[in-house]
Amino acid sequence: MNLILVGLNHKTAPVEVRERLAFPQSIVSDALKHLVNRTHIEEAMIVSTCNRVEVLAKAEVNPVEARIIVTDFLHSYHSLPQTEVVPHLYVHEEHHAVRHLFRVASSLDSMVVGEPQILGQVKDAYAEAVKAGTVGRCLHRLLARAFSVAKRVRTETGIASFAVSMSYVAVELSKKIFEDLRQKTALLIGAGEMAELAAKHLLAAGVKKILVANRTLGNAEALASELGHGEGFALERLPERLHEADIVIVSTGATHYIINPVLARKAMELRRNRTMLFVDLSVPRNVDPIVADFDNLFVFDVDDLQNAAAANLRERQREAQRAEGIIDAETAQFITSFKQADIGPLIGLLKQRLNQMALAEFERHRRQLGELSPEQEETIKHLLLGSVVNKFLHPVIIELRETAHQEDHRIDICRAFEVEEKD
Amino acid sequence: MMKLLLWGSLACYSVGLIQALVMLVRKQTIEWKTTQWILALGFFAHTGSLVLRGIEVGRCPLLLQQEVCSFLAWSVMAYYLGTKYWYRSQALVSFVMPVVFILTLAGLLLPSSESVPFALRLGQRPTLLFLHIALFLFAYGAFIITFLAGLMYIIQERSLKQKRFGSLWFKLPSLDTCDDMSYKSVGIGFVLLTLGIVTGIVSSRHIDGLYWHGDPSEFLALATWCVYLFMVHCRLTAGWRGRRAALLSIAGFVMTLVSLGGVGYFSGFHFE
Repeated sequence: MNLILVGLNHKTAPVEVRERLAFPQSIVSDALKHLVNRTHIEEAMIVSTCNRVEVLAKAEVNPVEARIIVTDFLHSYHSLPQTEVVPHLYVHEEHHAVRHLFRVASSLDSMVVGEPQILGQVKDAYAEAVKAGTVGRCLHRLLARAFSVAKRVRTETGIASFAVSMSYVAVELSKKIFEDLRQKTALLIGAGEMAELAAKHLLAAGVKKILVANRTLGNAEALASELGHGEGFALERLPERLHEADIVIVSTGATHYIINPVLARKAMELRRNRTMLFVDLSVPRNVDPIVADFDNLFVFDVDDLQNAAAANLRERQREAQRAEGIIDAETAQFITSFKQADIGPLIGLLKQRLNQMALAEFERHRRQLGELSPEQEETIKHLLLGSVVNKFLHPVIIELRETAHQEDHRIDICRAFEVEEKD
Repeated sequence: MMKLLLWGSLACYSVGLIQALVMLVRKQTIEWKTTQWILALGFFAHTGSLVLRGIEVGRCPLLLQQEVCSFLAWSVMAYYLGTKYWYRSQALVSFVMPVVFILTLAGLLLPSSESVPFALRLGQRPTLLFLHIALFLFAYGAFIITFLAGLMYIIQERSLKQKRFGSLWFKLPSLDTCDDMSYKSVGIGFVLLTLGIVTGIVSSRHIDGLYWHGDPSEFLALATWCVYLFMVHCRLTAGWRGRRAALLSIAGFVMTLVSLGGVGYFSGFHFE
């Protein structure tokens, strides 16, 4: 197959190296053409994200030479000294390369295992390479399979079903309390980046309304209108409005408790004890811990969210173990089916060989055939001998197609007909 | 034939029970459409066994201990299939199936006693009497669901308060769902229980002209009714929902058990 994958990722290289080797989208096309046109590389694509730079290539030459070509390309294209790049690189050949690609596309190789962006990034990289015209039969097949493997891993394992970002954990917790967020109101007190993100997640999950409270009314209103479905008010009015909110996200720089027991108790009374959730994203905390002991009121601080995220990450890793099994099976299957489909060149070689033999025999006995017109000779050479060769070859082709995955079987056939595969 | 059907439904329920327990232990949710059909099949077999039993004894099969257990299991199963359709939560089955299984098993294995209520021997108004018993049992079935929903609520609430996000936390429905389930089922149960008490009083009046016999069972039923009245009342007026409602539902369930056991245990007007 002559497939090779050379690259580095967040595990093998620090960000200083990764950023210098990165291929921004604007130069990917040029780089790919450079690689394919000037070297013995037939097909290539580049996956370049903030966590990885990888070149996947199908070479005309054997993997040892291909490895040198691609490695040279990586540092010389960026005009970096070899010594700075090479120690961080990993190289995967043939089925290892297939397996690696499947793992990357399925997000098993990601920094946050199971994160969904990587599949999109691989898809983009593929589209870019297709545009540059450096993708052929081999990579087309390989990438199509990689996408379906990624999908299979996603649906058959729980790899993506546990929230691992803190702001998303907050949403997951809300759903465990309220079930349906569509009739719920969220209140944002203060405006940290994470609080805003959590608010966006909540809106995406369908929250009906977002209130924003801030020390300055202007800021509150600005953020409320930015989020949409919102309404801003000044922080002084918190006591009279707190009870409207089902989910309260607190994220201010205050050094005292903004939500104290008196305030919380009053809100609960006004709500007739309907459940309330406080997510405290501030450090130091803004919600008095005593409040957490109230009935039907739940408080989660930064630590709790982090713990939940960490627990979920462990779950994902456990699921990732199952995903590896799927990847292994898919890799083996792909190699088999690829070889099956890839008997074309071998059949060409066999046909050529048999034609040569037939023609040689024809020449040897030519004289015994007596006088022949040029048309007759042409007919014998091309039609008669050609069809005899095809007839002989037919059972061999069928045999090859069925046993293509057995390497030694192929070798036996090659040896019997004295042909040599390039592979 | 009736026993055979009941054994069949028990077999179906045990499949559901095993699946439900496996589901609690395993992390990821599993596809179990087949089990749903098996449970529905078990329910139909169960219904058939109740009908056959009725034909066999020539009356509603609601008098003997084993009949009561079987009918109670059937009503819980009916509620479950209903809530299943309503809430689409997988976790409820893990709580319902053990109860249904034990009640069905009891319905099969309890010795058949020959004690028949005093009232029936008088041969009066059996329709009203059976309506009275059926209403009570349906109410108790609803209270079992209330209890299970309350139990799920308590478990879920504890893991949220203590921030333990384990496998059970992941499986159980949200607090709102548990609370809603508990509230709806207690509403249904309370109405049925009230009707059951009314029919009981009316049929007792028909038998010997007395509304009240001072029977321990009567006191227990009244006490149960009061607990649930308190629960509904507090919810509507003081906003007792969530944890307190869940605790009350457990208290109410204990009363239900006592009162159900009491009918068989104390001799009096109900049994002699």
